[in-house]
Amino acid sequence: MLQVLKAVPPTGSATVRDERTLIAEAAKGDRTAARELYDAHVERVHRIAYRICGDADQADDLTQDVFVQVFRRLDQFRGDSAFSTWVHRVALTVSLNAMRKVKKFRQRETDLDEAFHHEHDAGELEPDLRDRLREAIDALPEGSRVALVMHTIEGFSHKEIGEMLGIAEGTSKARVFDARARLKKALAPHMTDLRNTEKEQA
Amino acid sequence: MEDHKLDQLLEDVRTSYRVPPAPAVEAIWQAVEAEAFAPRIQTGNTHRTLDWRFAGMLAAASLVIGIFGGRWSTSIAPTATMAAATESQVSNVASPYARTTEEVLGRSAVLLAALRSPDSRSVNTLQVSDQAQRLLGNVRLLLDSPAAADPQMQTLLLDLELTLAQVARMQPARGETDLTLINDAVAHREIVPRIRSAVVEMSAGSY
Repeated sequence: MLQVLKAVPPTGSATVRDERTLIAEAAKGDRTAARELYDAHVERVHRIAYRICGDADQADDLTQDVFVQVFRRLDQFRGDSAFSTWVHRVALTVSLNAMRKVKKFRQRETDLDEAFHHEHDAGELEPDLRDRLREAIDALPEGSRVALVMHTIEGFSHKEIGEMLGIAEGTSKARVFDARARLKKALAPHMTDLRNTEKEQA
Repeated sequence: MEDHKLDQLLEDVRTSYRVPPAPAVEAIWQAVEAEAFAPRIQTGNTHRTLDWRFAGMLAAASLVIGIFGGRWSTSIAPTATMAAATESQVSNVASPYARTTEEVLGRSAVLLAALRSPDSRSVNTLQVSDQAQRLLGNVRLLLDSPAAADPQMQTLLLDLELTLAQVARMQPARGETDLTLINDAVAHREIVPRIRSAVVEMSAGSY
C-alpha cells in the first residue's frame, strides 16, 4: 500500500521508440494507440488532478479534460520533452485553471464554514499536527503549494516541475523552500503546544 | 520548528494528503474517446447544413445594429450623456479590457445566436464546442480582470461562462438534447439581450 502511495515514476511502460510510434498513430486517429497511451499515463494524471483538486469526481472530470486536450493537440507535441512531461504539463494546467475557477465560489463556502467552526470550536481539542499540516499545505500560495506537492509528495524533480510549469528549475526550488518556511511558521505554535502537553503529561 | 521534524511530518503526509482513489479508467476513457475521436459528423442529417458564415454574419449584423442603435439613442441626449460619461469614467474598465470584453461578448453572441437559429440542429457539434472552449477561456480571463469589476458585467460573464461551458461539453451523440437545454438556459437567462445591452452600454461608456 505504502509503495502505491509513495512517489512513483511515470506509469508508462512503453519504450521511447514504442511511445513515439503510438503518438504518431494516435495523432492519425488510431484509437488503439491512443488507448495504450491513455493506459500508460491515466493513473499519474489522475493523481496529479486529485492532489490539486482533492475531489474524486472532479479529478475524474479533470482527467477526462486532460486526455481530450492531449489527443486533440497530439500533433502539437514536438518531442522536445518527454511525452510524460508534456502530458503532466497539460494535467497541471487543466487542473490549476479549473481550481482557479472554482476558488472564487469555494471561498464563499469556506468563509461560511470557518465562521461556523469558529463558533463551535471553543473548548474542543486541537486537531492533531497532521491535520494542521494538511490545512497549512492547503493554505499555501498556489505556486508554492503546487511545487511542494509535486516535489515532496509526488516525487517529481525540480527540473521536471520546471518543465511542467514553464518555470526555471531554481524557481521550483525557491517555491518549495518558501512552502517549507511557511509550513514551519504555520506549525510552530502547535509544536509549542505539543511540547507543553508532552511536558505536562511527563 | 526544525527541518528534520518537518521532513518527518511531510513524509507522513505523503500517505495522507489527498490520497487519490482509483480512477474510473473505463468511464473516463469512454468519455475521452467520444469527445476526442468522435467523427466530425453533423448531428441532424435531415436538415440542411448550417452555413456558419451566413449565420455568423446575420448575428454579427444584428449585434452591429444593436450597437449603433445604442450609440444613436445616447447621442440624442448629449447633456445627460456627458454627465453620465463623466460619472462613469471613474468605474470604466481600462480601454484594452473594454475592447476585449466587447469582442468576446460579440463573438459569444454570434455563437449563441447561431445555436438558436432554425438550422441549428445541423450544427457541427465539435466545431461549436471548440469555438465555445476558446471563448470560455477568454471569459474566464475576463472574470479575473478589471473587466469584471462592475457587478452587472461580472454576473453577465459568470452566466456566459456557465453557458459556454455547457456548449463546450456538447457531444455529437446528444447534440439535439444538449442544444435544446442550452437554448432554454440562454433564453431563460436572457443572455443574448443582456450581451447586446452590455455592448451598447460599453459603447456609451457606462462600463
